[in-house]
Amino acid sequence: MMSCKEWAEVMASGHELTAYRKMILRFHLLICPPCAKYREHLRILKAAIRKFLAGQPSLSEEERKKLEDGIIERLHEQG
Amino acid sequence: MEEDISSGAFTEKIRKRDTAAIERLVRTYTGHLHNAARGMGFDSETAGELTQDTWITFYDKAPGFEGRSQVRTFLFAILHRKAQEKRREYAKMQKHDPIEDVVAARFNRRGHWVHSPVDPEKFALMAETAKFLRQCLENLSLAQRTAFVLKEVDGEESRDICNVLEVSVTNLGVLLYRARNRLRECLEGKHENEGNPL
Repeated sequence: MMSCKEWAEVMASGHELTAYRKMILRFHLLICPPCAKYREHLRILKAAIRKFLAGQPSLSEEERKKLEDGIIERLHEQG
Repeated sequence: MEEDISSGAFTEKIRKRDTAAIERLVRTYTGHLHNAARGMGFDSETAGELTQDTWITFYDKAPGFEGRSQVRTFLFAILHRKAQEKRREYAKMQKHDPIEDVVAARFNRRGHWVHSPVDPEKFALMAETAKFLRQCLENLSLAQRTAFVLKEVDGEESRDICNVLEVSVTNLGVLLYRARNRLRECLEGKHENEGNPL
């Protein structure tokens, strides 16, 4: 029998599980509210980091072009 | 039709530093590299410098490029090394991370929870506060942060992330475990410090 601590470790490290182990985990989450909460926290974290990074201003088309041009010029000098 | 970047013929052009081929790579990947550097926590200007340095190293190494690893993975691995130099953070893995003790304290000797995670709704409030998330991200090592972002945001394959970070699959699991628990504990702590914001 796996303990909650071991299941938490499996969930956080993201190791691939066999279909059988996945089923056991799903069952464990049904009967164990703290582990279910932990699992939900990890899901919320993933969504939050995606939203956070998507919200960071990335380079505009122009800025990117300028960066690319600078790099290409630099590499030509190098060559 | 444009030539496939991963084809043998294109690899040959990279090795010969064919001007058009290199230019096409720069146009294809510069935006990705810049975004990745931002994801590692660098400001836009520093991300630009890191991106440029990455290309210069790529160009130096091009004649030896064997095409075994994809161009993209190869570039990201260079970027990661440049980022480490910038942060003067060379260790990929510490033997022990204090977060492990924090997590261990949540369980009793039989491995049962003694301190359950808070209600997900409360946790979500903290995680969705950009200020808190930014503060908590700063607690991660560069390798932890890069592993976490490549996995969760970019959805990269574990194999590719391992190549970028130059770690084993087992160590990638350790990095993700530490990254997720550090973020989780930190954000949950924000909830406790806030008292009850609702």
